[in-house]
Amino acid sequence: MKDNKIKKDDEIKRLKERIRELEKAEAEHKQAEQALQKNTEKYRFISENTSSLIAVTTLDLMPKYIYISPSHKNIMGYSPEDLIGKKTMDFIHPEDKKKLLQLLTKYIGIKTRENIKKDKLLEGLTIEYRVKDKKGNWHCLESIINHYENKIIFISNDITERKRTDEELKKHHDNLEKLVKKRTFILEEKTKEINESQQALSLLLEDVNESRAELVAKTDELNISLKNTEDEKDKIDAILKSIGDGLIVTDLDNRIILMNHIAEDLLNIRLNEVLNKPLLSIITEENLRKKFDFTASKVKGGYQFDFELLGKNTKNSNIYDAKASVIKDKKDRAMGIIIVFRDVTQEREIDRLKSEFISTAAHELRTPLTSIQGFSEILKIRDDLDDEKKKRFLTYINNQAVNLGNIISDLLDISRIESGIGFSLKKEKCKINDCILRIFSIYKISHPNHSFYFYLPDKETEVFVDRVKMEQIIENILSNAVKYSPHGSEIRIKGKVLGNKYMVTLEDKGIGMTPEQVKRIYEKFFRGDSSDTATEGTGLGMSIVKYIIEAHKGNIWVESKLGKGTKVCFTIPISIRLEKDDKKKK
Amino acid sequence: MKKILIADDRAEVRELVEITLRAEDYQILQAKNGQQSIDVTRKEKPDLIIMDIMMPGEIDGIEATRILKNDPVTKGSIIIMLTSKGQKEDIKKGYEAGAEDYFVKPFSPLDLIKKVEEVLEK
Repeated sequence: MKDNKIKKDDEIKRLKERIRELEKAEAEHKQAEQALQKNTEKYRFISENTSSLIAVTTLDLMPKYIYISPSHKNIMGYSPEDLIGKKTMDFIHPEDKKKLLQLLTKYIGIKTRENIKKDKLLEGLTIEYRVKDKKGNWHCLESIINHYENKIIFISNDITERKRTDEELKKHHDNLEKLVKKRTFILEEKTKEINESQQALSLLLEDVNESRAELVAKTDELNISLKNTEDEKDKIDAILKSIGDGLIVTDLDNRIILMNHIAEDLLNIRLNEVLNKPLLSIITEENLRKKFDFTASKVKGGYQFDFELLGKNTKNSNIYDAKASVIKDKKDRAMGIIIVFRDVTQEREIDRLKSEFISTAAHELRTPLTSIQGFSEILKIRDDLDDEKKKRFLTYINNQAVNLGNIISDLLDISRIESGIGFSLKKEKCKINDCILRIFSIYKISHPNHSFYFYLPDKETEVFVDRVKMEQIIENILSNAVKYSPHGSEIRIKGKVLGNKYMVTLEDKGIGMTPEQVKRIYEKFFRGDSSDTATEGTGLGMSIVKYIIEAHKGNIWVESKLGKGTKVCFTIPISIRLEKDDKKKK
Repeated sequence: MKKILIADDRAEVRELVEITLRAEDYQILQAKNGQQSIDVTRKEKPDLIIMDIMMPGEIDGIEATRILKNDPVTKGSIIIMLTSKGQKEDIKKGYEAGAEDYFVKPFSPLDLIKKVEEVLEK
């Protein structure tokens, strides 16, 4: 029972405490209600005067407007009667409805829990969504949502403008970003390129440095080569200018670019006066111009021609043999023309004399052959000839055969002398008087119409000579004396000892010679009168005589007067002298 | 009988021509240079002259031929040049001077007879 009493006491105590609590709570509630009343008024005042949009709706899945602030009129065009009692969702943008509903669901959840704590305010949640204004335009609102009891309070700000600005800003930003990205990309690419270029440049620079070093080396080499080339050029120039032949070099347009002293002298011009002038402009003589008027194509393969120029100190013109050739470079391209010419006057004269000699020699050979062939054939075919005729013809044949032999000997002698072989002298002790007498006795018989006189020393003189050659000399001189003297005229020969020499003088009273003919008497092929074919001879005799005498270390000279006669003297050294009396014989 | 003049400065050649042609019944005349050949031709008017080209003196065979061929009195004589050269230049000169033919030394007497016959028959 005690327990029951305690229980009752406790119950009473607890109830009393509960009543006190309730009283306290009622007081607090009243206080709160008063405060709330104050607050509500305060909030209404704020709500009525704020520029924010304040709207209160029901708290359920189909919220309806309960209250809207007057600011809606200005911003959204709605009056309270336009919205109160209307479904909130009807004014929300279709895309934002779901978002808003999800949020509202959270509050509905809270509403359920409100059974425990009724007046607890859910902390304000912020949401952005679009609401249609009275004209049908969409406004973007940013709302802080609260709930109070079973109501939802939307405190919203129209951020349409801000949003738009933001979007534009964002757009700008994006554009800017894009641009920056693009620029960055380009910049990166460029940087890459620059890096690559820089790398390449570095390599190039290295190469350039190497090349430069090489170039410097090459330049040095080149300078040396250049100097060598110049030296060579000078050398070649000097050689070209010093050669004995005349030399003219022209370019392809026939302008003079080089000329040596010989050419300068011959054409009587100086290179520095005619340099780069056309070759033809310096040649005045018409025939000469024709000869020098050539082109590279004409002289291709060499073009040889003769021309004549008046000699510097003579009245006679000299003959020049010229050859023009094309100068080619390494690649075989024509660069110009080189004309080389030399004085061939003397050579031509020698050629002329030689051809005259051949002609004369042929004539000389044919003359005896005419007798030999003719008379031998007569002897063969004619049986009516008497003995005297037969003998005479045979003598002709024999004489001409001997004559032919002599001519051939002369030709061979001169050919030996000419070729430098000369004679081999078979020297022996020889009585010079005997040599002279032997030849003279022969001539006395064969030329009975001439008068021969001897003046020889009585003292027998021995000389050391080639006897055959000595007789050849005497015979040769004597034959000339006979050939060029009229019948019956005197021919004298004198022998005289002069110190260690023996001098022979042979004198005729014949046709004689002009000083010019005397001067040329030892010239090969020279004959006093080349048309005189009755007078046999090749024009070689005196050349051979002079050669033989000089080979014996002797001398020969000739004195002559045209129409008066000729005197030929020669000396030879004496080897042994034998004393004998002078003799005079006829 | 036809007259033939042999003009040559060499006696042997003149004798050779004479002995060759006389046997053929020709009358043979001789001249030892150009001037003589003209003199004899003017006087004797031979049918044929055998004229050596190279002869001494101012008148050689070519010149003598020219003179004879330009003289109405002597131009009728046929002239054969006798040359030891046989060179084209001499032959040309001889023809230019008026010679009718030429004959080269050395020669066969039989060939000379043929040549003379041939020339005189024309």
